Amino acid sequence: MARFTRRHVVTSGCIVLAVAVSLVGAATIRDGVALSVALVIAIAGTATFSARGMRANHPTLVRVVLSAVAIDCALVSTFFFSATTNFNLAIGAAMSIVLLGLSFLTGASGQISLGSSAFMGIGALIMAMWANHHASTPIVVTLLIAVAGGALAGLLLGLPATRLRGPYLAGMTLAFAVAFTGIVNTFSSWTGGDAGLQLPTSATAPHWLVALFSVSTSPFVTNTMWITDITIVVTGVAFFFMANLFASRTGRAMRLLRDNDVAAELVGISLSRTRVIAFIVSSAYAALGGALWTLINNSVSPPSYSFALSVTILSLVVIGGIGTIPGALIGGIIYAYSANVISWITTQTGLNPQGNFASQLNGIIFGGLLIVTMLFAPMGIAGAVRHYWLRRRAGVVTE
Amino acid sequence: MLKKQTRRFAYTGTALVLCMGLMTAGTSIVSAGAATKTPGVTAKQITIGATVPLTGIASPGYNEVAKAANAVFKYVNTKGGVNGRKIKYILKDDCYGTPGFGCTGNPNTVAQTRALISTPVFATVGSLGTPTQDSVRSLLQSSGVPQLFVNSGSRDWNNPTTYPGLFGWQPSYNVESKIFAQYINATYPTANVCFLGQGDDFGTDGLAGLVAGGVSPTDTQLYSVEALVASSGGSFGPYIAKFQSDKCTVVVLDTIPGATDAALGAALSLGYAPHWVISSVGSDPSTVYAPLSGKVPSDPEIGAVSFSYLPVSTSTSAWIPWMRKVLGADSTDFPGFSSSTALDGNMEYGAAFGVAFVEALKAAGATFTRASFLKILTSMTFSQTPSLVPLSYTSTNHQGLNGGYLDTITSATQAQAINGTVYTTDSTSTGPVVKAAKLSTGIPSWLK
Repeated sequence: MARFTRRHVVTSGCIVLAVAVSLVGAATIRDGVALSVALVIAIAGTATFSARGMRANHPTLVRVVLSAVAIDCALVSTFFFSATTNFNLAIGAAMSIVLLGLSFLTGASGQISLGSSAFMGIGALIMAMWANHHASTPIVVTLLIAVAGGALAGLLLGLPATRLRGPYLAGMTLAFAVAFTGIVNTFSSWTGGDAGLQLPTSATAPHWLVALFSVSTSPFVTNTMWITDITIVVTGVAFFFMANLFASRTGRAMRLLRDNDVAAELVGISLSRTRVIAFIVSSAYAALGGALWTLINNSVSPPSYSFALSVTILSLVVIGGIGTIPGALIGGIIYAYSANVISWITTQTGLNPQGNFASQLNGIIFGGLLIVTMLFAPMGIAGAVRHYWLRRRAGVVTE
Repeated sequence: MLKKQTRRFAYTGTALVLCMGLMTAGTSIVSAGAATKTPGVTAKQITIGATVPLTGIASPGYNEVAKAANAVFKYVNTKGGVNGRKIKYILKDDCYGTPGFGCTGNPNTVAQTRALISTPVFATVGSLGTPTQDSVRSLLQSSGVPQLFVNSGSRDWNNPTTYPGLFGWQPSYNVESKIFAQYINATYPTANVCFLGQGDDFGTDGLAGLVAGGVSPTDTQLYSVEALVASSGGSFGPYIAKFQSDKCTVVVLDTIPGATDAALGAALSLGYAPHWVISSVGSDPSTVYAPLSGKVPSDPEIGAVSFSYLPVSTSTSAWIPWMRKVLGADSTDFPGFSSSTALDGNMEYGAAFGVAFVEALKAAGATFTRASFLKILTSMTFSQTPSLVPLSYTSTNHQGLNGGYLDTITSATQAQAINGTVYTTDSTSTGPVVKAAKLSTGIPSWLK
C-alpha cells in the first residue's frame, strides 16, 4: 500500500512511543529492550488483525498474528504473576491442549473417545523415560518425541476404531483407558509402576531470563515462570495449528463426516482415513498435554492417568464447548482452579474434611456442571456465548 | 454497535493503554529489591512445613506422625521457643499422592510442596512417602529449600552430591533387614524363609538386606499396592498359599500396615502359622490390629518379631512418659489423649524427629542461614533424642539412624524388646552387624 493512511500513522506513532518510554523508563537497557519487543509485537499485531479485510483475505496471516499477540501478552503477564498462579496457568494450559484435541475429535469429527487419559499418560511417560535416558536432549525435541509416540498410539488405536461407531467406539477407548494402568504396572521396570518416574533435573530458567529479575527474586519464582513460558508458547503453537486444521480442507471433511457420512462418501472423502487422522491428531494433542504435565511437575505418576481423568476431560470439553477453540481454553482454566475452588467450598461450608461427601466433591461438582450444561447450554460455555453474540448481531436481542 | 473505524482505534488505543500500564508496573517490579534474608525465618518465628497423608489411603496411623512432631513443637513453643523463635509447622495433606479413599486434601505432592515453598518455609521437615518425596527432590533442590527428615527408609535420601539439602531420618530398609537376617540365622538356622515385599525399593532394598545378612529366601514375592487396594487384600491369598506349600516356617514381611493385615488374614484363613518377621514400617500393633478387630478371634500379629529404632512403649525409657506428657498437652492434634491411650509407633516416630529438629535448631544458634543449618546437621551428633542410637549425618552420609533392637508383639497395642541389645549396621552388602557402640543418653534438661 503506497498511501499512508491514518491507521499507519497512529500505529507507527504508538510503536515509537512505546519503544522510547520502555528504553527510558526501564531499569536496565536489557529490560527496556525486552519490554519494547513485547509492546511492539502487541501493537503491531493488534493493528494488523483489526485492519479492514484482513480476516477475509488473509485468514492464515490473521491466525498467525492473533496467536503471536496472545502468546506475547500471556508471556508478559507471567512476569507479574506469583509462582502459584504461573503453575496453575501452566497446568491449565497443558490441559487445554488435551481438551482441544478431544474437542476436535468429538466436535469436529463426531467420534467419542474415553481414552484421552491413556494418551496423556503415554505422552507423559515417553517424556520422562526419554529424559531419563537422554538428559541432554532439548526440551522441545523431547516434547516432539512424546507427540510422535502419542500419534503412533493413536494410529494403532484408530485403525480398528474406524469400524466402530458411537457407543462401541466409546467402549473400545474406555477399555484402552482402563487397560493403560495395568500395562504400566506390567512394565513397571520401564515405567516405574505405581511410583512413576522423575525427571533427572528440574528445569531451570536460563541466564538471560534470570537477568530480567532483581537479585532477590528466588529461583523458585524464575524457574516456575520459565516452565510456564515454555508451556504457553507450546500451547499457542498447538492452538494455531488446530485453528488452521479446523479451517482447512481436512477440517471441513471431518465436519462433513460428522454430519452426514453417506454424503461424505459420495463426495469422495475416504471415511476410514479421515477418522484415523482425527484420532491421530487428538491422541497427539493429548500426548503433548501429558508431556507438558511431566515437564511442569518434573515427574510422572502413572496412577493419576486413570480412567477418572478421562471422564473429567470429557466433562470439561462439554462444559467448555464441544468443537470450539475458546471452549478448550475455558475448560483448561476451570481445571486449573477446580482444586482451589473445591477446597474453598469445603472450608466455607464447614464440611467434615474426612467425610464421604467432601471426598467426592470433585465428582459431584463436575457431574453437576455437566448436567446443567447439557440441560441449558448443550454447546457449552463457549457455544452459549457465541450463540448470544450471534443473536445480538442479528438484532434479536436488544439492549 | 460502534463504527468500524472507531472500533479499530479503540483496539489500538486499548493496546496502548495496556502497554503503558505494563511498562510502569514492569519498571517498578524490576527495580525493586529486598535485602536477602533467610526465607521462613524472622526474629520471632521459624516456619517449616511438610506434605503428609492426613487423609486418604495411607492416612490410618500415618496421619499421627506429623501431628506428634507438631505436639513437640507446640510444647517447645510454650517454653518460649528455640533461641526466642517459635516454631510454626504447616502441614499440607497430599494423600500420599493418591486420590480417592476419602482423600480431602490435594493428592498432588508437587502442588502442595510448591504451596509450601511459596509460603515461604525455611525447610520441609518430616514429609512422608518414598514416591511422593522422590517427585519433589529436584524441585526443592533447585529452589534451595532443604528437605529434612523424610519419613521413609529408602536410600534415595542419601545422595549428598546431587541433593545436599536432602536428609533422611529413619534407618534404611537394608539396615533393618540385615539385623533381621542376623536374628533369623541365630534363631532359625535351618528354616525355610519366605519373603513378601512391596514392589518398590521398600521390598527390593529389604530383600537385598536379608541376602547381605546371609539369609537366602526360598521364595520371594513382591506385591503392588494398587493390586492390594483393588482386590481389598485378596491378591495376597496366592502368595501366602505358595509360602505354605513351600513349607516356609519363617516369613519376612516388608509390608505397609494394610498389606501386613492382608498377609496375616490370608494365613489365618489357610491355617498357616509361620514365625512372622515384620518390618517396622508395617508392624505397629495398634495400626495392624485396628482393621482386624472384631473379625478375628485373636490378634494374629502376637508373637511376630519386628525391629524398632525407638524405645517400645513398654520400656523404661524416660522418653515414654515425656512423650505422653507432650502429646497429652496438645489437645488439638490428640484430643482425648489420656494415660490409658496407647502410645503407638507413629506417635513415637513423629515425636522423635520433632525432637531432632528442635535440637538441631538450638545448635544452629540465634542467627543462621539454610547453609549454616545444614552444616550443623552434618557436623554434630545428636545423642539426646528419643531414638535408641544417636542421630548423626556426615557430608557423605545423609541417611540418618543406623540401628535399633528387635521386639516381639505381645498384644494388640504393645510390643516388648526381646533382649534390649541394640545393633547397628550400614546399608552396604558387606558392612557387619555389630552391637551399638554408643546409645542415646536421655532427655536434655532444657527440654524436660
